[in-house]
Amino acid sequence: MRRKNALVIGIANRDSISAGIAEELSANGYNIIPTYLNEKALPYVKEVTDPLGVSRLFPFQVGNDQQLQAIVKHLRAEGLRLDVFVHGIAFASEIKKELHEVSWKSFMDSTRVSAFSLVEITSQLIQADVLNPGGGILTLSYIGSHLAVEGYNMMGPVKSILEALVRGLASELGGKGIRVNAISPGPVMTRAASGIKGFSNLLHVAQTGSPLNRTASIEDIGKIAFEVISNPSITGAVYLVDCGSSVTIRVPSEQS
Amino acid sequence: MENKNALIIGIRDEESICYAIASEIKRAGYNLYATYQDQTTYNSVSRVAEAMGIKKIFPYDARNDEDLESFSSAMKQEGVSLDILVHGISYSTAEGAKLNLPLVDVTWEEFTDAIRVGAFSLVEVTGRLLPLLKDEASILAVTLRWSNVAVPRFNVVCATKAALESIIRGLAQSLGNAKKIRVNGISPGFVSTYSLSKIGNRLEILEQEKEKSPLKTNVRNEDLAGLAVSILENRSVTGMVYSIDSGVGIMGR
Repeated sequence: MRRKNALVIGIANRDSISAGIAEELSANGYNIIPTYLNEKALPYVKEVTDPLGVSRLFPFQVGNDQQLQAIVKHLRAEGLRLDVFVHGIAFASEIKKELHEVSWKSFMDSTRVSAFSLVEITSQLIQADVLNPGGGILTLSYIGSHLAVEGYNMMGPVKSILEALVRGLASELGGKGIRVNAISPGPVMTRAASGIKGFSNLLHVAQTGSPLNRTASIEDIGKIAFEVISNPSITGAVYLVDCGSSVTIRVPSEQS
Repeated sequence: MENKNALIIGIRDEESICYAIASEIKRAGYNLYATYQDQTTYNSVSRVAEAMGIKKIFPYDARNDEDLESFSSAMKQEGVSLDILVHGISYSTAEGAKLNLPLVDVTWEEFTDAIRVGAFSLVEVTGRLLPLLKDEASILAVTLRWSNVAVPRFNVVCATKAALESIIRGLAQSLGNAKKIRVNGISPGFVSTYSLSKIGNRLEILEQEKEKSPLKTNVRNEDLAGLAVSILENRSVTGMVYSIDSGVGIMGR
């Protein structure tokens, strides 16, 4: 049987959510084709991908068409086609500012990297005809798209755009048999999260707000991700995986 | 009596949703200020302004940095402090806007124009005019049910409205913190506007909507304007998006 291939964009290091997803895909027999942001990040990405038997990694920065074409060229040369595309990238230069203080330039750059790149990359993969029908595309969101989360600031609207694009792409690519979904994990201490003001407090709130009194593990997030990626009946969906914290309001019992 | 002032961004002509809202705000005793997009809409907006007694109109095309600069400094020079800001602009009103494309065919430039005009301009305007906004001022934006669903060929609009609603919640948090300002949205069913004609045949769309409605009616302009003013003046409402659609949104197929 042909080995299935997954392009994974968004591994920064072992703490990355995309790393957990790549590991789950690999455990299920997928060949992982990872990208890395730059040379500085490469050794940390390799810490994730070496144990998965990955031999080739590709540099990729949003908007760099040549880098994307290099990936396409490699796929063609090796006769590979993609069954899965995981999009796990985000960027926000003014995340520490209150929303009404954010500049258009910063919001635009963030929208490009964190949201519209899903459309751009998908579009190029389709044009190059390297995406298999029946394939699954997955991106990563956060409940800040639906709730004003203090400290998450400008990323809330950006994730709203991302989720609308998931629905939009799902509606338009369904005819090609391509499914597009998102998972929306509770807070996880990743490198990206360390840029968010008061993140350890956010983790604490998510944990104490959960009826399970914990936050989602990378492994569990990876498993849901794999299910959503591979289940042929799921498209246009955003699945929360947050130990119930966003659907719960916990009230401490009265102290006597 | 205290001088109450409202700035309306989004009047195009007498059919505009913002025109209906502005009329109701005027009836509630506010002085009106408004913007127009460019020279092509100047005539119709100044006609409306004269008829309604709008104090002053300012040019503001949300795609341009210079317009944002000149409009916000002109407002500051005017020296009015604002009780109300209404935001009802979206890129679908721009000439030549290519919104009826599949997402994979939309360029980044087109996409950013749509996001900036239809959503982020609310952040930019409130950020710039914050010194003019009174404590406990009230902001209302006009959104659309499409924020929550996919509409093939119009998914840029969907993404824009999703961003707008998220920005409503975000600003309700940050401006509430800063100045006890409230920020809300109304999400009307389709009404007969110039923007609607960009989506398709107005009469057909309105007829289909009427059929879907449990009341078998279309939304009336005066009803959504009444709701708008009620939300604007209600001190216990913030971060909300209220739909007013004759019940269309609750119906299954």
